[in-house]
Amino acid sequence: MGPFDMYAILGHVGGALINVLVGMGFGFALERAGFGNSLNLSAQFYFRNMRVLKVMFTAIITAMLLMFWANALGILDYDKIWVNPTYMWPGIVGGFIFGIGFVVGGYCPGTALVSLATLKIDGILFVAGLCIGMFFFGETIDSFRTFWEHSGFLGRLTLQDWLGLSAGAVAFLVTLMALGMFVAAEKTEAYFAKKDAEAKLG
Amino acid sequence: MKIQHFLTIIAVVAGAGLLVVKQPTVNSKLAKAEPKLEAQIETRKFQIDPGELFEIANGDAMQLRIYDVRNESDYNIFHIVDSERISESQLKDPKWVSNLPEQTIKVFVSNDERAATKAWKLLAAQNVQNIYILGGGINKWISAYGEPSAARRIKAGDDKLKYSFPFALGKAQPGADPDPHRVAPRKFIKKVKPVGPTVRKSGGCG
Repeated sequence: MGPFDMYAILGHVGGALINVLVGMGFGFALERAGFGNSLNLSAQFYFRNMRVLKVMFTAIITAMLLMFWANALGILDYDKIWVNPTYMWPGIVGGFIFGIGFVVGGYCPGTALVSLATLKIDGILFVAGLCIGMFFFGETIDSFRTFWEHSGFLGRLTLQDWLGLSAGAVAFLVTLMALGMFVAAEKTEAYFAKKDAEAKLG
Repeated sequence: MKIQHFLTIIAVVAGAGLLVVKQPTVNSKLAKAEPKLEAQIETRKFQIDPGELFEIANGDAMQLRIYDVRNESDYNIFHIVDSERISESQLKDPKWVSNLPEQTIKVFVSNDERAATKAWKLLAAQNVQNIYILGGGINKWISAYGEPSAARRIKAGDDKLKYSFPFALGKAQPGADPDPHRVAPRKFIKKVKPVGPTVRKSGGCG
């Protein structure tokens, strides 16, 4: 029953190789989805191109449905899946900074690396900025370590814990929500495409 | 039919199916794993001697957590130093279980072994690693490390405290925190598999 400890099964080299292959597969999927191009990504924030929302929610509901079905069928132990512990306040502050970086730079860290891999100049500059930011974060963390490592700690918190619903109910609601967002995204794209076309015609 | 429509139908059906299909609970996992776990318990590979627990607790080679699964009254009368009393509901709470430290030896303690074995099975069914039972429980610990002047042996049923103490002193009770320099070494078979970064014992150079 999964999840499998690939380092225990395949050894250190084999486990590391699996990580590299998964990473390459993830990067390839991002690149093929057009996430290596900052114009595609930043267009999301102006409602002109909603592919980020569509691709990410497709990935989320695909993984979610497969995971809960695998759990129900006894193939996977969901409780052994690592869920990042929730630190509410650092999460809000970090999310805000991340969002500004995303809008200004046109990339998130993962897509910046995809862009770097295809040798795009803006991607290379973004990753350079990312490295400088990480350096300063590492050098200054002692001044806000208590906030960063302790404030708003809620442990392993999932939607079903928060809403008090069963995993199945949450999975179904998230699926409906995603499908609703896909429809809304299509409508939004069509609306802004029409508006832009009208503006061009003057 | 467009591929998008086909995939939408699959997603809705798969999502709706999860409303009907039940996710495994701790009890269902335990029921499924029970025969295998019972066989493992019978090998007595997971019941450690008080001497081994004492050695790990007083060494610096491994991280250790002692979980006492007895009722509050017995815990207040006597408990091993640094042990933490936990309830059955905690053992069934995925959130509590997922926060257990991985690279740490976890030992469950009851008066004899029955409640500790139940706790061990509950966690083993949830794939928690590095878990052990104090063989013979608190009663064996007291017979090994307790001071006869402080505890009087009484008749009691299975998994009941078989010693009577004049006061409920918990970890301050004689024998709860034995002095490693004073107790006689016990002979035992080592059963705990080392985990985590092994710390060099003091005394080495460099």
